[in-house]
Amino acid sequence: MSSLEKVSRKQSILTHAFLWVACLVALFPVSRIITISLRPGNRLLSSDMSLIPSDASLDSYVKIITEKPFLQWLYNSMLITVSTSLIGVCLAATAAYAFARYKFPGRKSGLLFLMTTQMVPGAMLLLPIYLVLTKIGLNNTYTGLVVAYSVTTLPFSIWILKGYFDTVPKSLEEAARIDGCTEFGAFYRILLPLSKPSLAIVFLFNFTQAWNEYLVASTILQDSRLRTWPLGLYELQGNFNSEWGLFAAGSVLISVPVILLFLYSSKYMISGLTLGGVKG
Amino acid sequence: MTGVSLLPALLEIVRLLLLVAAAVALLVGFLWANYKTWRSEYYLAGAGLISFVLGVELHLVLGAGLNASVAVGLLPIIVALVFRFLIRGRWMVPFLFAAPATVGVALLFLYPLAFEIFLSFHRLNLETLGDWIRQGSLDFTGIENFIQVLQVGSQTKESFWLVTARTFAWTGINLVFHVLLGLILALFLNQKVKGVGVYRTILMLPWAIPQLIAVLAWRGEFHSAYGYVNHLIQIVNDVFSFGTGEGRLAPLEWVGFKPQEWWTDPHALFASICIVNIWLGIPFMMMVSLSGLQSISKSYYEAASLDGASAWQRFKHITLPLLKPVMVPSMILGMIWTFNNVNVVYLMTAQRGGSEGADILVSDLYKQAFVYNRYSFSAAYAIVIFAILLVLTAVWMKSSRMTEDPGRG
Repeated sequence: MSSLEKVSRKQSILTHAFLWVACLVALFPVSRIITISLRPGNRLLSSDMSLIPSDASLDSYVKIITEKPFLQWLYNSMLITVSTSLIGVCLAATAAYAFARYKFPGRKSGLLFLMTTQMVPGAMLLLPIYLVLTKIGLNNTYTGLVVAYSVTTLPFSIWILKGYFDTVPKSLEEAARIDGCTEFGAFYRILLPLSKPSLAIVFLFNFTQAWNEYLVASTILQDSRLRTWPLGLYELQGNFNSEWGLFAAGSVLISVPVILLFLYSSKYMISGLTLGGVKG
Repeated sequence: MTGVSLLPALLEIVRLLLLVAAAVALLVGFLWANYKTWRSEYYLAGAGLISFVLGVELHLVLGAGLNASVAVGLLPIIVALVFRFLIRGRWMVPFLFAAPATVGVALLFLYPLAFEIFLSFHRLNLETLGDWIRQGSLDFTGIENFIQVLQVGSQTKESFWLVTARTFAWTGINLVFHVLLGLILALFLNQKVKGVGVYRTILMLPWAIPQLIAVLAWRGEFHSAYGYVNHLIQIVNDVFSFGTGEGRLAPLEWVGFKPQEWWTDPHALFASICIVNIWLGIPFMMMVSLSGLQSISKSYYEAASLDGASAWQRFKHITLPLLKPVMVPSMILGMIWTFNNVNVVYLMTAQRGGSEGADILVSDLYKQAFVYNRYSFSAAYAIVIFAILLVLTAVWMKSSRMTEDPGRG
């Protein structure tokens, strides 16, 4: 725990052993997916336990790109995700500015309300949203999906950004105001450029949320051409016998960039979380 | 099949973005116009006129329903009254900044909530859906839906009380394992050993990998014949068994440690979902604990060591109390996330050959609404679940006030 005393040799070996086991458990499904994705198509359901099969092939990777609308799924997901994130960041940044910099009636209850929305089960809001979208004819469109996504991410984004804005000294904007900047100018020219890291984090947070979402998408999008990648992969996995290898290959292709992005941004996300969580 | 169609989707998204931008501009412009004119003596009269024209226009020209037209038409005059008598030009800037998000959240949160309450007292299912879309009429049923939800021995679904009990067990089991294992891992990672960064990165994987992929991969491994889990159990059993054939003794099998029908046996299914979710949730608690551990000043430990405190005493009297303010809010957040975790349970249970007996409240709610299309029933169900969550909220508020740190808050 403390770095004061040198870690003894015995203790160090114990630590390594424990962390090794933990890493094995963490890696287990990941390694299995890689193994399955490398198996040739005729023996997907083997009980062979070696990490890289002796007859490894890239068949599944070629197949999922050429025979399945995998690229279309990625394109659909990308469109939905980017627009959700853009709307999310713009609306969250202005609202967080108001909460961080001004005193006004309803400020405390507004923040509390945002917290409360985090507690509402998604399935609960999904039903009325689904019914209303059906009634006004927006069911089975991207518009409906983007609208539904922005509900779930906006409160958390506001909370994170407010926590960050609180740490930026107010005097910078006050100086800009004295030099003749408008209120919006102070926000746009001073605070936003200073908050680039946190804006990026909120964008990434929105991005991963919408990118990985399955349940809402499956409810609102029925048309197979509109499918996002989670819907497509889920379908492949449903055919456990024939397309398990394609599912694995698609998973590897999607996971690698997502994992890299996540590992890069997680550090900031946690600090944002604890900042927002502790302060009232 | 493999051709990618780009344009239609892009056009729709661009239209949506323009629509949102226009709505925000309209809203901010509307509030700004009110701010500029509220001192004028014709202000209220003008707002009243706009209200009237807007309502008539909506109802007669655009053909909106009477209730909706009146509601929307009343907005300008209400805003005008608020400006004239309450705000009087104060707090204009924060209101303008907060308005778009506030309206968005209110529309997409408060309106669905109100609609859900409305639904729960009416009868809407697959049979009446068509009538409702065409004519907008629904039968009023009173509290019938709520009675159905709470009824013991209902034929149509598992007992509400059973599912509730299972949900609490689910939340408790997950939270205990998340916090315990996360904290232990964090303590190990906080030591000065070689390659800690590599270990930490690998241990983050369960959080980093897209949840859908992780859950479906795990689900494949729980397949009773081809999955790795049963294989592993078999291997362990073989190692710890004596003799072969009839006289084979496998002590571990006596306590139930043997290959399971994970997909069809409800108890095994529930256990497998717990295992998957514990695996998924550990990294979050690990990172929170780790950031907490690293923020504890080294001087405390130095002082304690000088006074001759043992490692356990240092942990108990320094680490735990100082970790508490970081851990409690995250634990409460984790509790609510686990309670509301529809994704993992749904993905593990909602397929061919899956069993029904492992649902928690929110996944059951989802299935009632979208698999069985019992809209009004699930609206009432949702409100009951929300009531349970409100109690949890109260607990949250209380404990977060308890942990408020005067130095930072």
